[in-house]
Amino acid sequence: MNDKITFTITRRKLTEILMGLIALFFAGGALASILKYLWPPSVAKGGSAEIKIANVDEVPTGSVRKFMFNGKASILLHMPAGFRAFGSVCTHLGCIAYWKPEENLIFCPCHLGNFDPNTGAVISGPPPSPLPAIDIVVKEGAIYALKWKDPSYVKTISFYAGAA
Amino acid sequence: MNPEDKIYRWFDERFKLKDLLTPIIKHPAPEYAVTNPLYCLGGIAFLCFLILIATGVFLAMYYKPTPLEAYKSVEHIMTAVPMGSLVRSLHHWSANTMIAAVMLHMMRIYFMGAYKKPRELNWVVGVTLLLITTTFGFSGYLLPWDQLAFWATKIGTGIAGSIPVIGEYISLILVGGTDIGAETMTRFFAIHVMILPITIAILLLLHFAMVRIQGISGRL
Repeated sequence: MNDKITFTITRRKLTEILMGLIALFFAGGALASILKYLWPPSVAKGGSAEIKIANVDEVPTGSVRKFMFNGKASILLHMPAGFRAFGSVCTHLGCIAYWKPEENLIFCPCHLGNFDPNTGAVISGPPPSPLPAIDIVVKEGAIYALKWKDPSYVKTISFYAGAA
Repeated sequence: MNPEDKIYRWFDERFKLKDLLTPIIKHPAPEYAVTNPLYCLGGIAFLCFLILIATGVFLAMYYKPTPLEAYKSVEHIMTAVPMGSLVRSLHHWSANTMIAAVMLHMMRIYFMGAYKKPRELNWVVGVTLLLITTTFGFSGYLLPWDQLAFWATKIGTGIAGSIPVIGEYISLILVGGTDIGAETMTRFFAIHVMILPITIAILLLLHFAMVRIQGISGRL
C-alpha cells in the first residue's frame, strides 16, 4: 500500500493548465465588459444627474413645484428664505407628502406626518427621519436639481425597491 | 401522378426525405402513452408555445416598448388593428394555459416517477424550462405598462433585490436604474422577445431529443 500522495505534473499537463488560465482570463474580460454594459449609467455616476426643475419666474415665493428626481417624487419649495428641494416620499411608509401652505408644513396624509418646509425635519407624527434634501443650484434663471444631499439615500431606495 | 407527388419525388431524389422523415413520422409510441390523456400535457404546453411564438411575432409588429407609447400601442392593437384583439387575447390565454400545462406536466412526471434513472437530466432541463416559462410570464407582464404591470414588476424586482449580497446588483441590472422606467421597459422587452425565446428553443430541443433517445417511461 502506498500512503504517499504524489502529484505528477507532466509538461503537457502544465501547458494545459496555463492555456486554461489564459482562456479564463479572456472569458473574465468578456463577462466584465458585459456586466459593465448592463450596469445602469445613472447608478455608475452615483445616482445623480443634473436636471432642470423649473424657471425661477415660474415658482414665485410661497409656491411649490412637484418633479421627479431619480425616479422619486420630489418637491421644490420657494420659501421666503430661498429655494428648498426635498424628496417627498415620506420616510415613514412611503406615501407622497405635499405642501400645505395654510399651515406652512409639508404634510403626509397617510399617518399625519408633518415636516418642516425649511429643513425637512420631522415636526410631528410617526416619520423616523427627515425628508431627504436635494442639492439645487440656480443658474441662468432656472433651478436645477444636482444630487441627494445624503448620497446613501440612493442606496436605501434601491435596496428597498419593492417598497413604494 | 399528382402534382404534390411530383414535388415530393423531386425533393426525395435530392435529399432522401424518405430516410430522414420516416423514423420521425412512423416512430411508435407506447400503448399506455397513446391511450392516457395525462401524457398530452407536455404536448399541450408545446402547442401553447407555438401559438405564443406566432402571436408574439404579430404583436411585436405594433408594440412600442417606451413608457409614452407602450400603453397606447397595446390599446391600438386591441381597438384599431383588425384581428388585433384576437391575436393579443390568444397570446394572453396561451401564456396562462402554458404555465398551467407545464405545472401539470411536472406533476404528472413527479407522481408517475418518470424522473428516475435514466431520465434525471431531462428532469433538470424540465425544471429549467418551467423557470424560463415563468420568467417569460413575468417579463411579458410589464410590457402593457398599466398599473398592474408597474406594480407587479415593482414587487418582482423587489423580491430579486432581497436576495442576500447579490440581490441589489441583480435588481439594478434588471431594472436598469433605481426605479422602473424606460430602461426597465427596453430591458424586459429584450429579455422577453430575444433572450428567452432563444434559450427556451435550445432547451426544448434538448428536452425532446432526450425523450426520443430514452423513450417515454411507463407507469410505476
